[in-house]
Amino acid sequence: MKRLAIVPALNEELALPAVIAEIRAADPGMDVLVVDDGSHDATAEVAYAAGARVARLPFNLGIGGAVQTGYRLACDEGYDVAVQIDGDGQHRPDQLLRLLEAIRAGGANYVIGSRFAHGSEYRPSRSRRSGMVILSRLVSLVVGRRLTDTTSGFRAADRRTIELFAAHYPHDYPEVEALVLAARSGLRIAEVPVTMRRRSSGRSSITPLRAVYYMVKVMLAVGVQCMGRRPRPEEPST
Amino acid sequence: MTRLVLMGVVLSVLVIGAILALIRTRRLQERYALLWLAAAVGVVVFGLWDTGLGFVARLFGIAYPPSALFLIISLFLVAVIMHMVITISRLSTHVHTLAQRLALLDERLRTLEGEGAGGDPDADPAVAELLHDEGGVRLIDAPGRRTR
Repeated sequence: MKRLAIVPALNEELALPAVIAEIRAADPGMDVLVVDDGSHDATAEVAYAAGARVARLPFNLGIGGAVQTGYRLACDEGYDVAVQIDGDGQHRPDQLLRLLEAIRAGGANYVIGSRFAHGSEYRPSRSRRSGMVILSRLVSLVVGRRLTDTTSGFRAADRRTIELFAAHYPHDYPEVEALVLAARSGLRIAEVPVTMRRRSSGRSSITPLRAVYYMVKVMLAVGVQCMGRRPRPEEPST
Repeated sequence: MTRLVLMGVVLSVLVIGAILALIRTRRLQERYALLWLAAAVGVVVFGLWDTGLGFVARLFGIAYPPSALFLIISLFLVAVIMHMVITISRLSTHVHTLAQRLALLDERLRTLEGEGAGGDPDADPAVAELLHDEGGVRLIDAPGRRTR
């Protein structure tokens, strides 16, 4: 089974070497692709030095565009599984085997590492938590099964999901929309419990104003997606 | 023909001429010029047909004919803006896809260079010979000199 780790990174020269080393340690047979989303520091050089493959975006596309770059490569090169792991160190590579296992067992096409699923302990601030709960409820309703953590970026995708995301992947804040897209395309979604670390460098991109924009934009996108026809993997994205 | 009508028609013809000139010099694509040409033609038509505005106002049940003018102008501007927003969305999707393809090609190029010649073309003796052999340089230069 050909495996690819997609590591989106923006100005993560400090955290990245450890993340790459930990992925290697967790699964030596997994290729690592760092997608440098227009960093101003030595993110790409650090990644080369750590032995990763590096796709350098000519300018910042945002997390969605960076992750889709990885899915496009995974699709073109015939990878069977792709795992998304953030370059800032908040996702724990030693837990990626849990995600892989859920796919390998054959029960799921798209696996989410959930901070709230049974066995995890994560306590975000109240406002953040309420936003996450609203989104989870909304998505659970649309998807037709209970999901606890729809904003987690720690995910694994099988071949079918890779092909779908190579052709269609939401921009800016993609996590929630990607779930709805996958569900509406008939893919099976599963959650496995994970724990996350405090980010070892950099800071959250979420400010109060952006949080409001995020909620409104995601709800609009989910609503539109529910109205539209089901996307098919072979359609080009333009 | 009153002076006012004449002025309107002359202005519109100037606008049409300017748009056609922009298209001819390839600074404006036809598809983006169509709406403006239509507007300029509209101004000519309403300039020459002095009861036209009153006719349109009656058609839409507007009591005060100049209001019909404002309605038409507003609709035209909304159409132009929608057209531009749709165009921007399409272009931004294209830029997005191009950036991703560029990043992937860049990655592949680096991988291939790494496998082939360590990233340095001189490291491959055959390539180095082609690049630096003086006979080769003369051969490449010669035809250019003859044409001059």
